[in-house]
Amino acid sequence: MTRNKMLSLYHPIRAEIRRHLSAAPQLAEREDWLRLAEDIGLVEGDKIVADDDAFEMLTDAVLFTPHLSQSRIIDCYAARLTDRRERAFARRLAKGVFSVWRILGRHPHGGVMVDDMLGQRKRKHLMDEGLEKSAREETLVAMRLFDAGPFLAGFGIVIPISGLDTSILREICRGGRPPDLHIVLYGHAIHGMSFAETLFQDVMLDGPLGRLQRPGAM
Amino acid sequence: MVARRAISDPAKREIKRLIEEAIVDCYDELEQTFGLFTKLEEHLA
Repeated sequence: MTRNKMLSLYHPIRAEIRRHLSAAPQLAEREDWLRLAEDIGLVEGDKIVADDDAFEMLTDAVLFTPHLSQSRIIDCYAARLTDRRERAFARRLAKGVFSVWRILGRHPHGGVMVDDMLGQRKRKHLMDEGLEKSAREETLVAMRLFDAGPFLAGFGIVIPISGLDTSILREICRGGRPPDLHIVLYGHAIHGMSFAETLFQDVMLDGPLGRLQRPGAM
Repeated sequence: MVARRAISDPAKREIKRLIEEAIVDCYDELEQTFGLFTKLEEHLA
């Protein structure tokens, strides 16, 4: 397969991803947005404060985080589609996996080869023109990918992640991947902290570090 | 895993110091990981 042929498959898929990702969030209620915005740390007073990247992360969280009822907006959206082909595509999209991916190098026909650092997917072809241009070998990124048929395709924000954070996450995920991993890493990206730092923050803030959080310490 | 909270600069500095303390002398990222877990376990004990 040539690069042009690969791109001719990829571009319509990319357009379809965008179409679904702009339509699906309309099913979310204001409470969904506020709850997830609070989890990520984007609420000031009773308002959501987010730049474009942060809002894209929040949208992903709203679509892919299970409700209290255990259903997800993206699943509800897919189920409502009446066109069988569209519904099948949206269901594939809904199966997207948020993980840490290691870039192995460029694919000869476009995109890059990746390993899932938190799972079993090894040497998979990811079609992504942005990463193809910018990512060096051995780069680690957290993002959501789904099986688009001929290749994996990604959507949402790409979060650079360190080797140490990846190592910590691998150990944590041995006991099962946390369903809210994306929320934690979005929070870490938005607030400019490493995963190690957020872990220490969560565990220690109620302890000795709590004293440093008192009013006046900011 | 929990929601992110705003964190003060002194707390950030203290977190960085504790992490440095936990991973000093570690040979690689896996050792550093267990150094961090040990530090967290000590705190929780």
